[in-house]
Amino acid sequence: MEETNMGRRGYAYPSVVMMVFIVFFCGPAWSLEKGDIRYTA
Amino acid sequence: MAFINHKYRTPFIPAGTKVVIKDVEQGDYDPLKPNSGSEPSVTFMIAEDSAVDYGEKHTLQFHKKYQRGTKFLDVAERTFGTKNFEQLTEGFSDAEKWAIRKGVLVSGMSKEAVVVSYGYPPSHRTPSLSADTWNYWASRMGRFLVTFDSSGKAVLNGHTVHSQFVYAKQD
Repeated sequence: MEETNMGRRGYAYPSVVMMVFIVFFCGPAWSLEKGDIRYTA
Repeated sequence: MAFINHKYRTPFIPAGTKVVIKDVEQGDYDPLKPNSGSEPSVTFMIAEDSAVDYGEKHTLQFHKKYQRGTKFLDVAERTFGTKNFEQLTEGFSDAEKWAIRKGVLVSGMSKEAVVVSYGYPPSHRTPSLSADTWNYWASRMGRFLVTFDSSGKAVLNGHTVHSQFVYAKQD
């Protein structure tokens, strides 16, 4: 059976998609916004 | 009010006071162009079930020149947290808790308790909290120092001008 790189390519592609997802959709750690209930610190 | 948190003739709001965020303004100030725009700010109101000054509205303004190495939203997040007084002061001594309610410092206070009582020292003069001396301002011109001994406990440093309202004795 002929060996190919398909498996490796198939593995690499989702990891790039995951990185893009984390950067653009998980967003920065801060979230302070109008209407929030907070405590002074 | 400013995030640099002057200690004299400014409204005093104890740590752990419940507030409602009314507005977060990120401003359009350009550090390369002095006086080029507004500084970031947070407007908030004391919450109804809070112990002090219910309904009062305040605006905290961030001055980038005094907050070198810090970002507005990071400072805003650490100034308006999610922990109430009991959670903020967990593990602190009774003297430290008393001082935090009064917004003062007492001798022997830990660095953590000083931060809760007084806020973070402006980073342009105190870039690292591991330093033994922290710079605070009682007013625009009234800089004073809080010093710590080798075990990290606050000590009276002999500063007399502001000591009447910086340091206090327990009731």
